[in-house]
Amino acid sequence: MSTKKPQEMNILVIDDEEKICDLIKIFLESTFNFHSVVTAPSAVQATQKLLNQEFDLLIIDHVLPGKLGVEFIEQLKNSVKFNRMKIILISGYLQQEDVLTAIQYGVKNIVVKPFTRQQLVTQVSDVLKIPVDGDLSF
Amino acid sequence: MSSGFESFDHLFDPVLVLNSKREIVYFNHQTSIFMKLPPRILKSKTNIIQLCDTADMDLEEWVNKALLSFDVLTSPEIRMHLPHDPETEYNVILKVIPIQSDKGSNFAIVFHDKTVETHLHNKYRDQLDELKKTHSQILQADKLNTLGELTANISHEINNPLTIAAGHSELIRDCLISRAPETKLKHMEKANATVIESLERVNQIIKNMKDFLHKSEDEKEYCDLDALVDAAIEWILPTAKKAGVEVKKIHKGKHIAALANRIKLEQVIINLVKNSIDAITSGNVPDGQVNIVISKSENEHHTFIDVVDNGPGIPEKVKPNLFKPFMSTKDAGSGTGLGLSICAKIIETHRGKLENIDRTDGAHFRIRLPMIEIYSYTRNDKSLSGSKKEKRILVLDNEVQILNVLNSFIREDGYVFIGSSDPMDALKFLSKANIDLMITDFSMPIMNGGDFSRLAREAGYDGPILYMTSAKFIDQYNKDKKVLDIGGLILKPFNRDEVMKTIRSALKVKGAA
Repeated sequence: MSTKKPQEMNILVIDDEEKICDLIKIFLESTFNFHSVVTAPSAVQATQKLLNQEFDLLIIDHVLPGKLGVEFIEQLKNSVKFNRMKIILISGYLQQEDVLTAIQYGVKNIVVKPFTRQQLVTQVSDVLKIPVDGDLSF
Repeated sequence: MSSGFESFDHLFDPVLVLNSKREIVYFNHQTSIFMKLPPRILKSKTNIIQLCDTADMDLEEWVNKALLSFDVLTSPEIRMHLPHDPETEYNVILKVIPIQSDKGSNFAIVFHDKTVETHLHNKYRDQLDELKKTHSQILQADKLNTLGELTANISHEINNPLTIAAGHSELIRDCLISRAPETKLKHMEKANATVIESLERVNQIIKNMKDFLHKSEDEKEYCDLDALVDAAIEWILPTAKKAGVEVKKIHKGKHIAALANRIKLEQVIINLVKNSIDAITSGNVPDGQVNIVISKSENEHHTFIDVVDNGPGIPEKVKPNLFKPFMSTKDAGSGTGLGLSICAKIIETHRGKLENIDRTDGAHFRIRLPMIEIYSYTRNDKSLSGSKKEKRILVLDNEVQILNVLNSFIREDGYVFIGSSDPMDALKFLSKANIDLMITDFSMPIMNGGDFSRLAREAGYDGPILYMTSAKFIDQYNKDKKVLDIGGLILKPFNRDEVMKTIRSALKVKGAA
């Protein structure tokens, strides 16, 4: 289990919608005292960031330009370096098949759009085993 | 019975010859076949009533009338039975022909048997009705099909702005309950603007869908092709994004408008782009690209919308049947193969043509539309010659909505409306179409109404010109009035009565001159 404090954790958010990335960043930073929430608009840019830095959690949108979130997850889980990466899948349009694939690759935390702050932080708190903290403002 | 009537034996239709006493004096060979009676029985019949039974018409009375008029008389199509075979119904047309000979007045009654023909005609008509019904069902089904496939992706698209809006509303609420709301004011304002913007995006997407579903099927309007292609791209973008295909609009020449059913034309473009995306995906083409190019033909008679992709192209063996129904290169279950045939039909109803342009590097489809409406009028001209000439009014405005409004006003009053959003097109119409009145918007992007009027006068147009403008440009009107002989002013915003009054008085001035 991770013994890191929230302020030492690195989070990567992947969504092609910049405003969704920003929103998740605001939600997380104001709730968990995270100091490093990094965003990427595509799978390609996310891969670059993953190679340069170690992340504790990946929050990934299901539909990305040219690639589905589950496909990206599949790649990660097939690589030795990233197969233990903690992942939350976000989607507004998820098919049963995709849910099964996600679960098959060990992704148990799925957040469906449109989501509330509560829904998101509950999943993050669950996957990182950290308590919900911080005041509800930004 | 050698009576000089033997020539009737060569006819394929049964013929009876009556004398002036209405007695049968001759029947041709065909009669015995048609009546299914041997000649010796036929000979025993003297009255036409003994031979046929007509339900729709009093045969005796009609024959009497025909004989008295002493003229060729043709009956309508009637149903007839033979007395010895009441089960079978025949459809016949009877024709009475007076025959003058040295033996006195005789009358030939020709039976024109339409039974088979009528039967076939009815059957054909029923089938045609059925076909028409099926066709409209297919059109609707295809629309729903297109919609269904796109909706899955669009629901994702709607969820994005919804998430942003909902999230920022939460942030606003959080600000309000925190201790120092006044310091958060800037944040709240920003969050609020984001909420409004996101909801506007959702609204736009839903509005597009509603239009697509409910817009009247037959209505044609002046469409700005730029905006039309944008709307089509809006639909297809989520699907394209998912497939990793880039869809781009390329506009060669500004303000190209077409008279079209916006929704149907959108549907055709969506279908073509979707085909391209499917082909690119199934061909595993990297960096898939679909370009939608809006342009004009070199002779400027046509407007083109080209859909060009860098996919695997169309297989050679498919090309001859490309626009036939149920032609599909996709796997069974993933496409009905109706798409292109329906697209071609839709473009035909716009008096245009859907073409496949041969290329080795990808597929290229061209929607060819006639440039605005001018051609329909020039074609009608010949057929209308001699009848009262309708006054033709040319309206130039870069805003297609204004063209649509004026189109409905002007046509309702019985004038011919020719609209254009491009000054160069309008100039061509002026020289070709015998325009009686020209109305030009004043402030337009390429050239203003004054410059256009000058060009029109230089090109030899001597009819009345009306400026259409807001009060802002009234000085310009006063200046041009004398120099360019501008006949009046339509002030924007306008109402129907004012506009038509101005138009009528401007047309009268020319009549008097």
